[in-house]
Amino acid sequence: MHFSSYNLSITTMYGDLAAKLIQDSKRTQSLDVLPAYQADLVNSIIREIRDLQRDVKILLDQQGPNFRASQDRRVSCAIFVLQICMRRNKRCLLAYHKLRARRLETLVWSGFETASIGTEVDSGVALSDRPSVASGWHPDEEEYFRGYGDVLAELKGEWTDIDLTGSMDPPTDLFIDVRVLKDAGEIQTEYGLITLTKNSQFYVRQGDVERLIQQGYIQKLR
Amino acid sequence: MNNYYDIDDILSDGQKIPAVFQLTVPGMGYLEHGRNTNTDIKEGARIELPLWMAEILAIGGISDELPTGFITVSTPAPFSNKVLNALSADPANVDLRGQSMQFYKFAERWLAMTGDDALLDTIMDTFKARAAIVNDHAHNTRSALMTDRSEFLGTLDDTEIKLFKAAQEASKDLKKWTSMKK
Repeated sequence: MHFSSYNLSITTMYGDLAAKLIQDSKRTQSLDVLPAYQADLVNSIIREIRDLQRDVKILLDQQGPNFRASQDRRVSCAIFVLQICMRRNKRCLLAYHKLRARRLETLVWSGFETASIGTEVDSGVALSDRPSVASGWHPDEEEYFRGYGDVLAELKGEWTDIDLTGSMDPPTDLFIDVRVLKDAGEIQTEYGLITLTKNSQFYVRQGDVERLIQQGYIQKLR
Repeated sequence: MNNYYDIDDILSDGQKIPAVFQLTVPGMGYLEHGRNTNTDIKEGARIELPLWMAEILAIGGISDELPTGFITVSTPAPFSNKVLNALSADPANVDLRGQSMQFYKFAERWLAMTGDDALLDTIMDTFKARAAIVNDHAHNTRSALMTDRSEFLGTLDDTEIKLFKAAQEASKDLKKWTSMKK
């Protein structure tokens, strides 16, 4: 009985790579920012699954077309183990992606802006200074984010008099003091145009700036 | 209780338990020595296998010729008599995290496999005793019960840490609420 040889020097045991992915997931749960997509790890795990699949095929081919599990316990055990490893890898992959997808959905609901993906937008502020930049996302994740955003926009459009993604805190004052955390360009209020440059403070109507507070551009002062 | 997508469930499935193979399986040496070995696993070989593999092998291989299944499993270290005795004597003093990062979840899985009532009782009592201390630590920054707070907190397993954080949040929220002006 001969198995193809494997080249992974990093890990020795099936399922170790998947365990790393789950560690990343666990870490993600306690972070605010979605960490970079682990494309290499994911691809290695998929390769591992293919290797396992190949080994199962080799084993089955050696047995012939009418193999029944009861014929040779030892072989069926070997196949069983390979199967279990594949299932484990699959579970870890699915859990990792599902966690990230859920996180992306949460970001959509919170009004996260991704105008900066792929392009340098506005006042030359370094991307690293803006924690709202989506860095390290897989292109499919960006697409999922956009698609989900479209669906949400459609849902919100059904009710025009209420903002489903608005703030959940009841407003305490009509006008509030705010400080600008990041350059956010200019906004139009009923009292005129306000230019939001970093560290400036304004006394503005809460309704006008609520969206920007949610996105993290300005901060409400007590 | 094993949610397919739950990250903590997946992690707890990674816990290793000692297993003994009931048959010789050719070509599976990688379980013992890593991926590049083509040796056989002999009947009677003792290997530590992760729960996700061990559970299925122990149950799945049961047949007339092999009534025990492909492997038999024995009590993992965290639930050995030594640890259990220490837990019944003084639950607060045992380094639970050192035994297993996810002690209680691991216990749940092991008990589901074996149904050991004595173990269940010991672990329930341990949990109750330690939970009381965890709660105390969460509410006071200087506990009257224990002199070295950080030492105890370092022995908490993941479940207890969640408990601790929840108790802290609750305590904070309560203080905030009682001191609200409007």
